[in-house]
Amino acid sequence: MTAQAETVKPGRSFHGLSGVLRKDWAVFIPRDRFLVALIYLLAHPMVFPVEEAFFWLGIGLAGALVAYVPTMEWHQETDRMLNSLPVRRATVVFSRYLSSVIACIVAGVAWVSTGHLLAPLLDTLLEGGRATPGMWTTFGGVLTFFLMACLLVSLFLPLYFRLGMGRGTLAFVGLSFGLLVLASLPSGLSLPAAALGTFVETLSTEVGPGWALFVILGGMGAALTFSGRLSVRWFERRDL
Amino acid sequence: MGSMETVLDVRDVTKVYEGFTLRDVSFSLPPGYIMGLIGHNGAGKTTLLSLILGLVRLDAGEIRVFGLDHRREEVAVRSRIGFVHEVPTFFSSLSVARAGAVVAPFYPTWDEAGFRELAREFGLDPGKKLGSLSQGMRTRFALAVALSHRAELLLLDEPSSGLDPAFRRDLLERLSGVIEGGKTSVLFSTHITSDLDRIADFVTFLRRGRLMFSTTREDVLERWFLVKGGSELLSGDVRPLFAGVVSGEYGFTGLTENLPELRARVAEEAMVVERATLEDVVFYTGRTGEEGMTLHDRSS
Repeated sequence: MTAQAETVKPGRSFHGLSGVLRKDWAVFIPRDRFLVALIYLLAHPMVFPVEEAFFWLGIGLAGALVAYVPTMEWHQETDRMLNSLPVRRATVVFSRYLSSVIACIVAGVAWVSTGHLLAPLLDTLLEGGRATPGMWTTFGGVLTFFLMACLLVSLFLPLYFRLGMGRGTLAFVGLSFGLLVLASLPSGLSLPAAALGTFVETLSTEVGPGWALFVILGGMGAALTFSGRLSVRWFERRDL
Repeated sequence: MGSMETVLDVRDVTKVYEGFTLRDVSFSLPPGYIMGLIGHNGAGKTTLLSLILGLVRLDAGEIRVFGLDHRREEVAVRSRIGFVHEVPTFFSSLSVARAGAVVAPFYPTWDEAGFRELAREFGLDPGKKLGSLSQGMRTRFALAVALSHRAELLLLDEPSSGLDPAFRRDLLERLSGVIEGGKTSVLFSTHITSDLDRIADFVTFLRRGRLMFSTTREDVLERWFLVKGGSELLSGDVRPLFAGVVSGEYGFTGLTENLPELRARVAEEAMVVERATLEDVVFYTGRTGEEGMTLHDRSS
C-alpha cells in the first residue's frame, strides 16, 4: 500500500458520477446487448406494416435499454452495495437519468436507421407501398419519438426510485396504461396520437419547425428536471 | 462529542420499523481499536450498520464518523469506510478483476496493486465471474475491496459467518494487523462470540433493539459471572439479581453482574461461581424476559 491517503473533500459534489456510468456500461452484458438488438430486428417484419406498431417497437427498445440496468440491480440485489460506495444518492439518480437519455438516443437512432434501411424492403409486402412517408422520415415523427421516450423516462424513474424496481414497474405500467387510455379516447385509440395527439405536427405548422423544436426540447428538459428532482427527493428518503 | 478522538460516535440513535425499533443506542469507537457488535438474530445489528452507512435513515439521534455528520458529508465519510455486507452482492456477470476495476474509481485512495495482491492471497481467480463464487468467496472479494482503499473504518456485517474455519482465523489475524498502525478501526457484527474472544477490544451488545452495554471486553469478562446452585436459592429477593437463568431438575445456572450483592444474600458454599464468557452473556440474557434485567449502558 503506497502513497499518502487522499480523501474526498466534504461538501456536495458529483464525485462518483463517472464511476456509476462506467458501472452501468460494465453490467450491460455483451450477450444481452446482442440479444436486445436481435429481438428488435426480428420483430420488424411483424410490426412494420403498421406504422404505429413500428413506433411502439422503437419506444419498447428505449424502455428495454432504460430498464436494463435497474432490472439487473434489482435481480442481483446490488442496491445496498452501490449505495454503500462513496457516492451521493443524488449522483446515483443523476447518472441514471444520464444513462437513460443516452439509451433513448441510441433507441431513437436505431429506430430512424432501421426505418430507413428496412422500409424499402418491407414496404414491398404492402400492396401498393406506403401511402405517406414513414414517421421516422419526418421532423414531427422523430420529435414525437423523443417526446414519448422522455415521458417514459420522466414517469418511470421517480416510481423506480421511490418504490424499487418491482413495485415501481407495476405502478409505472398501471399509470402509463391509464394515461394512454385517457388520452386515446378522443382520438379513437390510435396510440401515438393517443399519447401526443397531433401536438407536434400542429406546433410545427403553427410556429415553424425551429420554434417547435425549441419548445419541445424545453418541455422535455423541464419534464426531466422536475422528474429528476422528485426522484432525488424520494430516493434520499428511501431505506435500502 | 464528534471529535477525532473517536472514529465513530453514535448518539441516541433510534430507527422505527413496523414490529421492530432500534431505540436510543449510543456508543463510540476510538481510532485503532476493534469493536464487536453482538446480539441475537433480529437484535438490530444489521440495522445499526446500515444506519452508519446511510443506507437507512435515522428517525432520531446523531451519527458522526471521523467527526463528520454521516449524512451531510456522506461521500467524504464513505470514501474512508470499507464495508462487507452480511450477504455480499455484486454484479454476477463481472469477473473479480473487472469488478475491482468498476469499484476503483469511487475511491481516491484505491490501491490496484494491493487489490490484486489481496485477491491472490484470498484465493480469488481474477478471471472468475462473481456469480460463480460461493458466498464465502464473495465475502473474500468484498473484504479484498474493503481493504484495498486504505479505509480508516471497516464496517463488517457477519463477515465470518460464511467462511471456513481456516480463513476465518486468517481474517481475524488480518483485522488485528489492520489496526496495528492505530489509524484504522473495525466494527464488526457477529454471533460467533469466540471471534470476539480473539480480537475485540470493545464489545457492544444489542438485545431486541436496545443497547445492553458497550464496554471493553475485559470489563465484560470481569463484570459477569455464572452462578450454579440449587433451585431453592432462587427466592424472591435473589432472582432479580440474575440477568438470565436456566433451571433444571438438579438446580439452576444463572448469569449475574451483582456478585457482591448475591454473596451478601446467599451462603458461599451454597453456590458455585465461575467467570462468564461472552457466549454465556449472550446466551443467558436471551433466556429471560425483561424481569431481572439489571444491565446498564456504560458506554458514556
